Amino acid sequence: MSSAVEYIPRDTLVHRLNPLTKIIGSLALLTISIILDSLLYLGGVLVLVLACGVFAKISAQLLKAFKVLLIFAVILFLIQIVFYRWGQTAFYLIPGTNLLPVTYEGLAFGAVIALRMMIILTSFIIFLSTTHTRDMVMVLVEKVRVPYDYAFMFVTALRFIPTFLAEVKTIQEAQKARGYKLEGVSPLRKLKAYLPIALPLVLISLAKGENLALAMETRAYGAGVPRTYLKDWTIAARDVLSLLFFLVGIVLSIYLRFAVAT
Amino acid sequence: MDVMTSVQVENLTYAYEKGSYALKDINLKICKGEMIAFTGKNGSGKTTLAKHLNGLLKPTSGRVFINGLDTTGKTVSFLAQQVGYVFQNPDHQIFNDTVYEEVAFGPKNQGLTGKDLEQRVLNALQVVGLETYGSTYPYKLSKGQRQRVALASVLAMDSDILVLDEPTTGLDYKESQQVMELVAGLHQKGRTIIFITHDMNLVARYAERMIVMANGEVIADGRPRDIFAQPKTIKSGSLKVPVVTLLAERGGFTSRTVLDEEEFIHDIYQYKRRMSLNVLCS
Repeated sequence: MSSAVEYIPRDTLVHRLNPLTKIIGSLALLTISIILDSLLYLGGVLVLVLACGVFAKISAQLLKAFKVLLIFAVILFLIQIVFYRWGQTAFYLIPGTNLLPVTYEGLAFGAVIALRMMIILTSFIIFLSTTHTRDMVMVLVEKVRVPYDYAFMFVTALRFIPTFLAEVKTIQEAQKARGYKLEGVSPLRKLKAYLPIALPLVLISLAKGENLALAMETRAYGAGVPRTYLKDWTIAARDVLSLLFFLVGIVLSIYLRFAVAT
Repeated sequence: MDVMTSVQVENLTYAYEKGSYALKDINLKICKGEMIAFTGKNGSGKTTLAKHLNGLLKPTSGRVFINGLDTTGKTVSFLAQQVGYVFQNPDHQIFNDTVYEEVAFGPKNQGLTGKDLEQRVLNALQVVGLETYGSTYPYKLSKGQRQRVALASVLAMDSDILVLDEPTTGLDYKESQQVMELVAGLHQKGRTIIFITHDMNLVARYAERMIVMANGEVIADGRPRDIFAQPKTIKSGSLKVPVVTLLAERGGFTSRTVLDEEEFIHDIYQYKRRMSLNVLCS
């Protein structure tokens, strides 16, 4: 899953949208999927979301993530149908007995929950993989007034994950070359067995953190001068159009849920 | 395969990801007791190749034999008995409270205990000249000393092939000389030494044989003296031959490729003697 939510650089309309638009869009889709409760409409929304992914030219990566999501969706569906106790019984999970009844309503409800989960997660995956983390955070700092120090901390933490993973790999290799084995160690001793990896990692990380702090200070981080922004995120026509589209979507879904009797 | 072969690499190809090859069709044979340098610019595949020798990486296709054993399906900890691998940065491995414990980690993993273990550790510490530092906290030591602790911790495993990945990086002149002299001493005692380096002075001084890598391929394999005389290889390997070598070549007073200061001075004296003889005879 970690690779599924990495930023994938492409030059598409979806990528060029203001990060704020995409944040709002994802939240709008979340709202829409909660409002709607008909399988048909939710299915339609999911198709639209997937089409958006194809449009953003990230279909290959999305497909990979989608397969994982599908597994979770099936699990979620199974849990729902087992625990949903209302409505007309369709069949029993254990044939020949009247244990674990599955109702038609339960089936529908399970499918709705599974679809909602897929819509919400897919839209966030599309958002994250078409938006550079830095841009996203910068917009939050500039437009939503998140304090820059916190935003910087967040970006740095994200930025260091791959670095630490690489360090872990090197340390692991260095210890393996000295005959270190993690396999076949009893769970009780596992904690101690991680020491040869954990200790060098902590020491190296501390040194890295110190270096980073020094490098930041030499470049006058925190000098108090109001910061300027390299990229000027304006709300373009495409953003207005997308936001309108989402607004219409929400209104429409409220109408479909409450005004049209189902 | 004869018993004198330490490492045999056959048609080794390796790809980190599908389609992007880090190593392309490598064939290499290293004999017992050789001291060989892997050279080439960063990203040329030196470390990737070296990591195949103790099973940290397994061939995408082709085969690697260590002392006649195919590395496929063998674990790193098993191969560690045959091949010691010293990593570039000692801080990637040091985790014990004392130098002694650090050096004992490898042989303990091999199942050694009691007197045998103690003997191995003390021996290794003596070889690297740290016998009086056994109870010291490793991070109290200098970088060069920590590099030697790392070396000792691999030596203590008593493997007869030793791979060193840029053993002198980050060390000052004296420290790197100490480390290299130490390695040369091990070579004299019959171990097979493979070291990765960017320093052609080290290659000239210590390697009997060098391979030059570029874009995942071995583009040259031979004695440093012969390879330093091939400007094309030097250029495509992005190497820089020692200054004395260049100076002797430009000076035109000797026909051989000079490797170090001593040879340079020797040849220049020879040249002067010849010249004065010529003057006498004419």
